[in-house]
This record gives sequence, C-alpha cells and structure tokens, in this order.
Amino acid sequence: MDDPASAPPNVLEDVRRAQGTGRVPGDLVKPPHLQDISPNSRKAYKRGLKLVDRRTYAKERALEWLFFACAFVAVVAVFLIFAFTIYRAAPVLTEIGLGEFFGLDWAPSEGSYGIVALLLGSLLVTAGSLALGVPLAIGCAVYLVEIASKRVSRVVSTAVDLLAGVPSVIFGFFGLVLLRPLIADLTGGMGFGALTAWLVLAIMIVPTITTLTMDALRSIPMGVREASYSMGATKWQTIYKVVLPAAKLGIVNAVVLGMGRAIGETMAVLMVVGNAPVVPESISSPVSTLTSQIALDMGYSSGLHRAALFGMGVVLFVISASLVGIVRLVSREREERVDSREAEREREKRERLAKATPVELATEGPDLSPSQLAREVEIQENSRKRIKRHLQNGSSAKVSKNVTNATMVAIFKFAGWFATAVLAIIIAFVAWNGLPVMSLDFIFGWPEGVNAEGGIFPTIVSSLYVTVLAMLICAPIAILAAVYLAEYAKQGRRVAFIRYAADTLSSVPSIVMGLFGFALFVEAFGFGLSMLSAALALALMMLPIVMRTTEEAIRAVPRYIRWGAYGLGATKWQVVSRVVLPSAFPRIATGIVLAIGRAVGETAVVLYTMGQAINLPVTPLDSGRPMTIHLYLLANDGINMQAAYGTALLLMLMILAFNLFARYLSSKSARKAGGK
Amino acid sequence: MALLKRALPLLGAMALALALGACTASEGGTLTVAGSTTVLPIAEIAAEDFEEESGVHVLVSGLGSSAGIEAVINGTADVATSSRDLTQAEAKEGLSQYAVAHDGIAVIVNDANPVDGISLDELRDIYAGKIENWSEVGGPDLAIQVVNRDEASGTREAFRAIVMRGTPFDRTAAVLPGTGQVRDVVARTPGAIGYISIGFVENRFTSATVKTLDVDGVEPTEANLESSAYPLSRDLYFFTKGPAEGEAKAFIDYVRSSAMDETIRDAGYVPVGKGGEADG
Repeated sequence: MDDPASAPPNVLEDVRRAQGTGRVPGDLVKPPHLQDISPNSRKAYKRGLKLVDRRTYAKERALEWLFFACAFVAVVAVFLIFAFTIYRAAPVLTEIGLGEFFGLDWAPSEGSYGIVALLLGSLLVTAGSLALGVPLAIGCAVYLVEIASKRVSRVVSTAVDLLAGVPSVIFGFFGLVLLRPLIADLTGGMGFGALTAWLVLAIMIVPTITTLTMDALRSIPMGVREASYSMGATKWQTIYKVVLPAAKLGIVNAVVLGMGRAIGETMAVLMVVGNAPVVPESISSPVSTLTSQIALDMGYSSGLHRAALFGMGVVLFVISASLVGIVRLVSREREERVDSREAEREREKRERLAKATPVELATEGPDLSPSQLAREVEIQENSRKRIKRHLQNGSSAKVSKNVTNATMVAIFKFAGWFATAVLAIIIAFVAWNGLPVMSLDFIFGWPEGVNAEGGIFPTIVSSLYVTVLAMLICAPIAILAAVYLAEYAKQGRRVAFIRYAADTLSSVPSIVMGLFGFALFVEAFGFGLSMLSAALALALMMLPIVMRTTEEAIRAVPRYIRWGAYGLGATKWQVVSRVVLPSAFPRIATGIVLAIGRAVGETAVVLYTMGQAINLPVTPLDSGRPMTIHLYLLANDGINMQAAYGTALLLMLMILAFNLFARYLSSKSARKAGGK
Repeated sequence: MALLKRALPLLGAMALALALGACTASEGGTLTVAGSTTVLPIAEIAAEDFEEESGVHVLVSGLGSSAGIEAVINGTADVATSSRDLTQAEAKEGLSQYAVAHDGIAVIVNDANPVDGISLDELRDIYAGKIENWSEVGGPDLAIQVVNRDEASGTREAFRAIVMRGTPFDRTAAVLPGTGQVRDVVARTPGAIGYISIGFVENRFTSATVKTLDVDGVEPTEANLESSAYPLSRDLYFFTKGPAEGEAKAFIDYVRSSAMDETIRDAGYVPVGKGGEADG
C-alpha cells in the first residue's frame, strides 16, 4: 500500500526504474502524473479522490468486469474443449486401454483401436509438406521483404494473402481432380497417398509461414543490412549471413505454426490421402491421418469407436497446444533479443529525459541490461566475423560472389512468383471449369433430382446464415475481450494466461472443434444438427482471430488521442466507447470481414454440427448444408462434377470478394490516417 | 459506443429468431427423418413432394444408418432410413421395417481389363488381400489395386455381409468416401477394382466409363436383380418405432407409391411397391 502522503514520484526515478528492468511498463504508458490518480481505480476512490460519483464508479467497475468476462471466454472455451473431449474419450482409458490405443491396428469394425499408424501418417504428411513448403515460404518472404520492388511486392503479397483465404476444401478438390491424376500417371498407382498430400499441404502452409517470416524480417533494423552492404557484401551474402540468422527465432516460430496448420488440416488431406489406416508401403500408396480418419468415421461411429475418435481429438489437441507453447517460449527469448522497436523507444525516451548529446548516444547502442548487451555485442561480433570470413572466401572461390548472388536472387524471385502462379492456376482451374455452369438458375435455383442438377441456392443461404449467426455471437465478445486486453488489463500473468488461451484456441484443429461442437452443442445442449450448433462452434473458431485483429486495431490508436479525452475529464469507458473504438473501427471491420471469409470457407467444423441435408434454413435450429460441404459431397460422389465446379467457383468468388473488400477497407483507413 | 449501438439491434434480432426457432420446433405437423446417406437423395425428394401434397413439414438429415436407427430408438427421430438390416441389438428394440427399394452392387474394373467375370470367392480373396495380381483370376500380369468404400457406406456394409462373410478387408486398400470417386479412379487406373451401386455404372455426366464384371456368371441387370439371381443385392429400408402411424405412415406409403418410382430409378435403385404394411 502506498502512503498517500508520500511525495509524488519523481519522473526520472520512474523511468530509471523501468530501464533497470529493461522494459517499459505496458504498451500504453500513462503520463506519470496520472499514475496515482487514475479516476476509475479503487485506490483513487478509496482515497477520497472523488473525481466521479458513486454511480459512475459502479458503472465503470461493472463494465470492466464485463470486459474481463468476455476476455475470459477464451480461457473457458479452451478448458471446455479439452475437458469435454477428454470426458468423451474416457472409455479409451477405462475400456480400450492406453496400450491398445497406442497400438498399430486401426480396425474399429473388428474391435482394434490403435492409432499409431494414423499418427505416423499425420507425421509423414506433415514432415513432407514442411520439407517442400518451408523453403518456398521463406524464399517468398525474403523476396518480398529484401528483394522485390514495392509495386511487385504488393502484387505478390496480395497473392499470398488471397492464398491464405482459399478454403481447404478447394485445395482438396484441386488436389483430387487435378494433381491426383498427374501423380497417378507419374507413379503408376492411383495417385492417392502422402506425395499428393505433400504437394497440396506445402502450398497451404505457405501463407502462414510467409506472413510470419516477413514480420520477423521486417523487425530487423535497416542498419544491420546497411552495415553488411558497407563491408562489400552482396545481397545474397547479406540475406544468408546477416538477415536470416538475425531473424532465426522468428522464422522458427513461423515454421512451428505452419507445422500446426499442416497437422491440423483435415479436408484437403482427407480428399487426397486414400484413407488406408496402415503404415504406407511407399509415398504414393494410400495412407491415413488422425484428422482425416476422424472426419471419415465420425458420422457413423458409436460406442468405443466414437470414444477412440475423441481420444484422437485429445491427441491432436495436445499436439497443437504444445506447438503453441513452443512458439511462446521461443517468442519470449526473441523479445529479449531482437525487439529493436522497444529498444528504440526506450532510447528515444532517454534522449528526451537525459538530454544526452547525439554523440554520447551513438556510442551507447540500444538500451539493454549488461548481460543482454554482452550477448548483443557477441552477436554483432560474430556476424562481423562471419561477413569478413565470407568475403575472404568469396575472393578466393571459383565462382564469383556476384554470380552466386544473381543465382540466389533469381531463386528467391522464383519462390515469390511460384506462390503467385499457384494462386493463379487454382483460380484459373476453378474458373475455367466452373464458368460454363454459371447462370442465374444455378445461383438462385434449387437442386433438382438425385443427381444434384439445378441450382445451389439453399447451400448459399446456409453458408451465409451460419456465418452471420457465428459473427453475431463472436464479434461482440471478441471486441469487448480485445478492449479488455488492450485498455484495461495490466500486463501480467493474467493477460499472458488469456493470450495463451486465445493462441491455443486459434490452433485447435478445425476437426477437433467440430468434434467438440458435436459433443457439446449438438448432443449435450440438445441444439441438434443445426445452424446454431454450427455457428457456436464457428464462433469459437473465429474468436481468437477477431480478438487479435481488434486488439491490434485498438493499440494502433495513438495515445495522445486518449490523453486528450482523459484531459477533458472523460471516464475510461467514455474514452473507449467514444474515442478509441470509433477510430479503430475501420481496422476492426477489416478483421471481421477477413474472419467472415474464413467462416464461409470452413468445412471440418460444420461437417458434423450442421447436418448435411439440403434445406433452406429459417430458424437457427434448422439444419442445412453449406457450400463447402456441398462441394465436398459432390466431389466424393462425382455424379455431376459440373455442379461441383460451379459450387467451387462461387465459393471462391465469395471468399475472394470478402478478402479484397477487407484489403480495400484497410488501405482506405491507412490512406485516411496518412491524409491527416 | 457507436459499435455497440450498431450491434444491439442485430443481437435483438438474433434473440427473436432463436425464440421463433424454439416455437416452430415445438409445433406439431413435423416429421423427422434421419439416417443413411445412401437413402438421403430419395428421402429428400420424397420429403419435398410429400410436404407439398400433405402440408406436413419433413426434416431430413443424413448421418449414416446407425445414427438414424439410434435416433428412432431414443425418440429424437420419427423415421430412420437405412441401407442395412438391423443388428441383433437393434432388433430387440421393437422397430418396424419397411423396404423401399432394391439395390444391386456392381463390381467394376477398368475398360481395358480383359477379365469379364469373377466368382464370389475370388472377389473375397481380392478384397482380403490374398489375390494380388490379375493373372490369378485369368487376366494379364498386372497388380490389382483395390478400391474400398469408407465404413459409413451402406454399400460397403452390404458388400461385407454378402462377399466377405467374416473375412476382414485388406486394410492397405484405398478407402474412398464416395461412389463418384470410386468410379473415377477405376476408370483411370488400369489395374483397379471397385464396387458401386448398379445405378451409377452408366453416367451421363462423365465421359469416363467402367466395365462391370459378372459375378458367379450372372450379369448385374435390373431383371437379374428383381429375380434375385444376382448375388450382390440388398434392400433399402425405413424403420419406425412400433408400427408406423399417422404422418410417418403416410410418408412411408408415399415413398413406396408409384409416384416415387422414377426418383428411385434416378437414384440408381429398383423400386418396390408393397403398400404400407411392415415387412416384418
């Protein structure tokens, strides 16, 4: 407890204390003179600083609790998913036994529930896709950040973003219809197997890894590169010897998250692996994975078989949660080492406060604790030595460094354009086959006959219905949760815990979310196979995404705007509701539109929560069949591939439209901010 | 605040919609039909036409035969659709059984495959993984690539019951979750063998063709199916808890009436006309 009579804290003292710990207290630094009289704090109120009346105080406190409750939804959700999936998987322990569960034989109809072959299948498929996808994605990121001109970079990065929006069922469809026959001709088999899955998944993980790697590369200060160039290093030498090593931890994060995406992917894998639950003879013979087997078996399983599927869900959950844990550990290390932005900020503040001369500052370097400083110096020494050594080698090598440079730059360029080309091929493929089907009758017509002729109107309505419902549930909670994290919460263990929960929630494989939705909403809550069940499951899926984008949007609102409002005597809630949220609105809207795009394209979550019958939903308790499932079923039954192509094209167009709209919104708000 | 104000009416609308939903669901005049995905197309079309004719709202969903039968037993659905017979445990629950269509399973191979016929025993050995080359059944020296269906499939269940008779399937075979995929893969792969409903062998939507094999010397034709000469045949059923009454009976009668014959043929099955009495 502070003594109210003590002298007001010295500004310099405060900052020095902050420097001692090597960090700035929170992102949103209040002016120090406000530190003690935050008008909404219990302390201020108790101390008799009656800046607000009792009612306002009560309201502020109640709102804060509401926001905290919203933020806590993520924690509750993760806990519920884990607990409920384990609860449904209990017979694995009591009746099947762990020994058998981790056996090799998966033959539910004969009473064997061993998942090791499936687990190996998952690992095989993931490993191969990483081997192909990681170099491509990193090459693409390096090209975008280090090499490409601004204009080219905009084209390629748009392509990467759009690639991220392509629904997995379209990737699966593409793999099934186009890649599989090619692989079949090449290998002489049927074309189902790990090899096909590798190609499809490698493309799917590129956007995730590229975007995160780009962030990591961008966080390396320009000076590091300039130092390297000034020593005569070529672009390639700078990239390979300086930039990539410095961004190493960020890239590791990107790869781990890409791995999570690959392991959790369901629909695309399901459509191309051939689903034989055995250790495969070769990479071109049928194999099965945890996710695809759950999706395949869930519909008809019962008893122990179903419990085993939930057990597989637990295994997947544990894998993805540990990957998130790894990322958090790596990030913590990384923040200590290369968060140059924070160092920059501290340096600025010191400059201001200590009124140091530029010369003094230049000799000092970033503000770090002695041990960190030592490490930093060591890193710099190493890279300097590396560059020197490399340059010496370069002069004696047979190949001139310029030739190597030109070759490597060309390779990066290829990686960047390859990702763009893949997007173009997928769009062209879907459009070429789908356009002939397109007509008003197809869009607004009802499916006719048993061969799925006619239109797909009910599926479009179902898709949009469930998406809107999911967003109505998810957006308010996510936005208020983000308000809590960005404006109210003290950075500490509680917030770290909520963030960890949100990260874990966003990493839950979609089929596990589907399993959970089925167990909780469909069965336990009795909502049945319905729009509501599917929307609730989707809302949980979207929650962390909207939360994160909203929090970023709120943090991007300049501090001085808040200070201005506080200066006019506004309460915290007034500041948040009248100042912060309206100015963050365009970016929040962008995040929501992107989330909508993802929800429309989601398949595995809704597969067993919505029902699959073609039905025009009216009430939230009606079942229906969204476009993604329609496409999946048409692709499987293949009775009328025309309708499948048409559905794929419409789905693709809708999602592209949402993504482009989101880009437009964000560029508009960026222009507006720039204009001021 | 602006945001919240915008969101509030939407939230209100949602709550209203929820309330309405609860009302509609509790109203009378609805019939819930659940079960087999095989029967789903028939049930959907029947539901639509029946709704138009009688005004009874029919909710159809397809999650597999077992789920449908379970739903009827515990009362969450009125009618179960199934592409298989009842298991012993299910038979004790007092369900009434109504056959709605005959279905034949055709064994298909690539057009280029010279083999024309196969015996049931050979077929079983192929699917058990004991016969691995076409030369063992009178064909060329070509590895057999076995295509199986997923376990949710009623076709697989029937194939297992009629052909495998207790011998386990070879688990290295590709498992494909749809008739179309089986047909497409067999049409493209020289050494492949698969099985699909007879109605899907000829398909006006694709140019890829497949060849059917005679089983035990019998060709898979509709006539051979009706006379039960073709060994790979099964029936599709509707089940109700106790004898069907009221709306459920009217619906089942409608499905078994001649009005549905064309739809059933379109779906690839052979209709049965037997009035509304339970078969057993």
